Amino acid sequence: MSVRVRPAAPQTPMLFDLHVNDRGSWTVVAPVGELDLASAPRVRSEVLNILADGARCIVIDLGGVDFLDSLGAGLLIAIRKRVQGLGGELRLCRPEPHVVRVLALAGIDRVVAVFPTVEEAVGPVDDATVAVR
Amino acid sequence: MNDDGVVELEIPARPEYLSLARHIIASAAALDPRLRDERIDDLRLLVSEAATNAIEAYVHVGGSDRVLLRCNLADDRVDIEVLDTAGGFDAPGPSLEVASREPGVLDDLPERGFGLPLMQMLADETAITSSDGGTTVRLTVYTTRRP
Repeated sequence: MSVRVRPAAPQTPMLFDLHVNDRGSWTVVAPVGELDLASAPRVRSEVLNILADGARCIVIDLGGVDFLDSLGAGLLIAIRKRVQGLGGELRLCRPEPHVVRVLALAGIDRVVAVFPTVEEAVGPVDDATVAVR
Repeated sequence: MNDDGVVELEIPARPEYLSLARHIIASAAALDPRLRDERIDDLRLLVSEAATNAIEAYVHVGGSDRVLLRCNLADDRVDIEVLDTAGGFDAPGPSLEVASREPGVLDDLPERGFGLPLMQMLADETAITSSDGGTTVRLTVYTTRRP
């Protein structure tokens, strides 16, 4: 069997969405879809806007992220550096198992607290316990 | 290479086509019932890393061309080739090994450049052939993971 596929351009934009909610002192950013070279710039831009508006405590809810590669992982590292440089804190929550694996391979789970739920992630800032599911 | 079980996909070298490439190659690999879901996840990630490198290579040389992905379902393995004509492979970035250092050093986690180390960790065999004419990344995943 030999199958040759040559898709016609332009390609329909892939499904990706981004939700932002304030939860107390935390801003929860929830990307929905695949986090890669195509979608990372949008997340980066949104987080930079949120930080420019004065937010310092960011939760990235990974519950809707069904794919994460090294580009997406690098984005999380970049966001952490930016947030920490501003004296804030980045937390992650609800990663699917294959996303957990990439976070571990990239070493992110050692430097960013990962929580099983949004509710736990938006807990007190001074009670930053790492809870990797 | 025997053409039996070969699936070829040619995509424009643009990020919005990455998702399509991942889905088609992963769907092709899933035709082999011996491959576990975890290995198909590995293949999806491997395709993404190699194709992202190819697309970014075109960005560096200032053009936009096409990326060819070839997936061969062989008897005991899946071979993936990702070919571009963007003229050479960027030097690999910092190693993932930084993740195993002491906590204080982890602040230096690299934002970029662990695509290649990730490929080497996930694939059973990795071969990169690069010349002025472009780069071919060959990745092999055995149906049953070897020690």
